[in-house]
Amino acid sequence: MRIPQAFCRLFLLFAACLTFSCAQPRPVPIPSTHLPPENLPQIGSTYSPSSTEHHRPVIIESMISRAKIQLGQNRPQEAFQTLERALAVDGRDPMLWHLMSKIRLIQRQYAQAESLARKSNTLAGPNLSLREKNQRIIEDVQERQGRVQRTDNHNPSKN
Amino acid sequence: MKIWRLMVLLALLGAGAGCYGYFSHFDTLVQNRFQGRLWELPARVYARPLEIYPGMNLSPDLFEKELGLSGYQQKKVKSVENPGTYSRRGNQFVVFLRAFDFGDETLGPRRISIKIKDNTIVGLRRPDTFSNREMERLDPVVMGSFYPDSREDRVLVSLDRIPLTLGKTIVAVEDRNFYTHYGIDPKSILRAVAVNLKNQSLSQGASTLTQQLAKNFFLTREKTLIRKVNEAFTALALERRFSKDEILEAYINEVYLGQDGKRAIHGFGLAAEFYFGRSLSDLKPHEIALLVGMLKGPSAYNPRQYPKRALSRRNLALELMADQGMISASVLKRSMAAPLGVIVKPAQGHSPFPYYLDLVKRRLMKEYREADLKTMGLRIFTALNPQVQLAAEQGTAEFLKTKNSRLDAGVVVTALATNEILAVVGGKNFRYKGFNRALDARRPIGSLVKPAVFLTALLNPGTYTMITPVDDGPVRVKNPDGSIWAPQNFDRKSHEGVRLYQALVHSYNRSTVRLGMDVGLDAVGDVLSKMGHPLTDTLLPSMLLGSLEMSPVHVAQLYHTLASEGFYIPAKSIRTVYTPEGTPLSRYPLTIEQRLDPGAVFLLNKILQAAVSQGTGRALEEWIPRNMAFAGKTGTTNNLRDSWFAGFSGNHLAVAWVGRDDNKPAGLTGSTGALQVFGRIMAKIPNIPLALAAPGNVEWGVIDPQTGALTDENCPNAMAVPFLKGSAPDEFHPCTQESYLLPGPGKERSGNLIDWLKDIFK
Repeated sequence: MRIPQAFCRLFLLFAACLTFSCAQPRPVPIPSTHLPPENLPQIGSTYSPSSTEHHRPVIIESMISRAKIQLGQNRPQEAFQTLERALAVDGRDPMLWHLMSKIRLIQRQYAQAESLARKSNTLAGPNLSLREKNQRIIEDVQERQGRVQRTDNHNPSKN
Repeated sequence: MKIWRLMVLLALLGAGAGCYGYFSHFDTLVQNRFQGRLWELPARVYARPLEIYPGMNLSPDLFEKELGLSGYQQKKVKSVENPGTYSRRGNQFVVFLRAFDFGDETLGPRRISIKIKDNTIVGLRRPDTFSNREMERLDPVVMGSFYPDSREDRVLVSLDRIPLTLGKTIVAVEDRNFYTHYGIDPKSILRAVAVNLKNQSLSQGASTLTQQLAKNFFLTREKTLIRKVNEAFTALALERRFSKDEILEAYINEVYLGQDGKRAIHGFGLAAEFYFGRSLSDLKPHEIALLVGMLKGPSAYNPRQYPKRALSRRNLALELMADQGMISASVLKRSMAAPLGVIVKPAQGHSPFPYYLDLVKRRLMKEYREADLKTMGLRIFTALNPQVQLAAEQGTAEFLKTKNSRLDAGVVVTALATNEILAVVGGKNFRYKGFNRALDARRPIGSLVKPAVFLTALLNPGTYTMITPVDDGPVRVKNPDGSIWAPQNFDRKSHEGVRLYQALVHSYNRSTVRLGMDVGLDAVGDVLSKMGHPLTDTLLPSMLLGSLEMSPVHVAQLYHTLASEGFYIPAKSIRTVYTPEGTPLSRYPLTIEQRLDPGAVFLLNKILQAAVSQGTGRALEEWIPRNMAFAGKTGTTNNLRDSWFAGFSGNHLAVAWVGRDDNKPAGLTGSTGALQVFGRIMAKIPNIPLALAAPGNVEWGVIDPQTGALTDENCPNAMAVPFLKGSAPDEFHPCTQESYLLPGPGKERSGNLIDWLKDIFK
């Protein structure tokens, strides 16, 4: 008795599907991103910086430009003051904290530069470019203070 | 005969030598006085300058109140012609800003128009140049002064920055021969003597401007011959040492022009502000005439008390101005018809915010001598936000008026980014400084301490996560003295199946104490120190439920470190101190120090958000919409003595305490007392939602809250839970069959093949 080939194929497909459907659901890997899975309830609010698009107000752009000009004119103290005023407009803009960190680095206030860079990092969210800039400041501070040797290509070692 | 002549000559020589000696005495006196500081100048304390820009949240009513505090006078639209005036039509303002030296920049007078819609600035223009503006900076509210013991107050002006007509009018009215005499005017003296002999009184005076200045500077007010002689000598000395312009400038700054309670108004600079709410350079001829007319008798011609008398005197001065050719006939006519134009209330005087001023003074006293503060004329720029301050006062008053009259309150509001103290309410009597509860009422903080306990646990991710089960059963703790402490929950019940975050959300005492003892009192004390409250006393278990005593301003510092992602930023009330010449004496820039892991603080803040949305703080939704995502914590102490609430939005942090000064029960929990004050305040000021940013060391897991294990994203009870990297559970539990078949609300079922087949063959 010959079993039609088409029936065999159909049976195998059905068996495979049955096996697949009886398997336990696959664990959801923990995302490598710092963003939470969407649409799931959370402890506390689901409102996060990433849930709304961050548009930098014109006034902040303007104050950042002014601070950069002041810095360019070697007036770091005034630039820092300008950025402090900008914090009153939007204290969660990581760029403001980053620029303040840069100013403190220029002024050789290393502990402040590092803390400000770290603060910027906590607010930077997915802005990897800014995180890298902050990290460079942190490493720069640590190097100047003799706490760690820089490992990136900004200070290549010659063998 | 010769002997007589010789004797007369000798007598004359002796008299001359005596006179010269006497004159030399006054000459030295004048020289010494003018070498040093001429006046004791009070320190002026300013609120933060309001900076407005399109897109800014601004309540029109609070904005108008701030204009009022700054002495701006409301006018009709067409009458906004002078600095210090504004008009309002609906939510549209036209403001004529005054010139002001902000320390870092000086801005001149200019007219701006502001359009506000839905509490947001939608238009900011300079109507005179038809130009849109990115930002405008308003001259700040003067929130207080530190006066010299003499209580003399003045605003110094220089001749080159005041209207030319002022000096000329003073000369025309007070001393016509000022530019020709040498300090005393013999003609005037003879004329006065004749008039006084005729009237048999001392009604007519003949003092020159120089003599008046001499009298004010060096002499008493008594009317004796010797004093008049001394006055004349001093005037001569002044004329010898100084130019006419220098003498006139000193006179303009020295002269007394009125009284504001205990404060004496000296000089035309301050008088312009006091009577017209404007700077001297902005005064019109009829206003100058009024002030000059008042020189004859500042009390008798006080325009607020005796407007008719003052008007008549002003018009006399105006006629003299016209006679001297200072004003034209048409200006004279217009000026004579003009009203006095005096503002209703003094522009300055008693501090509108004495509790904040108290905070500022305490800070200054750490660096400055009190005598210097009162006399050096320092300009102190603070962080006080008058709009937030008014909102804090209103919110506190609205709550307290419905409660026991013995209740009082202390409130501190700070800016989240910079930890600048924006408002201080030290008690319900806002205008009269008494016991400053915001700074000095050190009370047990109750459950406000619990976040420190839970943060200590979360800083150990190997042992604790947000969903670690905690035991809420009865707990007994041995005190150092051997006694046993067995704390109860507020509802006197134990709770089953409690996870770490739930214990804080619902403020369970037993699980908190057990957790605190497990992590160790020293570790909790260390976290409290890092948050900003160094502990010096022996740590007792009762600390875990808030036996620690703190004032609202201390609690604000602790919670700010949480709100600031674990970064400690010292609270700040003063921004900069300048000398009268504009040199910065002290700056207080933002300083920051990372003290706690931002990831652990993020987890804690998520729980504090849940405490507001689901836990002990949920009554806040009466005031604040849920989508603002506030974080906060209630605190209540034994027998309901103290009611606390500390919380924060995306831009403000506030701490409120409500209780009684006699420490008797207030009858309020944190939720029924301080939270109500907090909510009322926060509802009045522009807040932004609290958007917590997960730091890089945080990862997310999909968790079944029943099992605490990882689960499928499609499970109906699945939650997204943040963990510090490496601390998420490894265990995976699939959904139970029942729950798996039930799609969660708002979720699409992806399902698998068997479900699909079931659906087909149904």
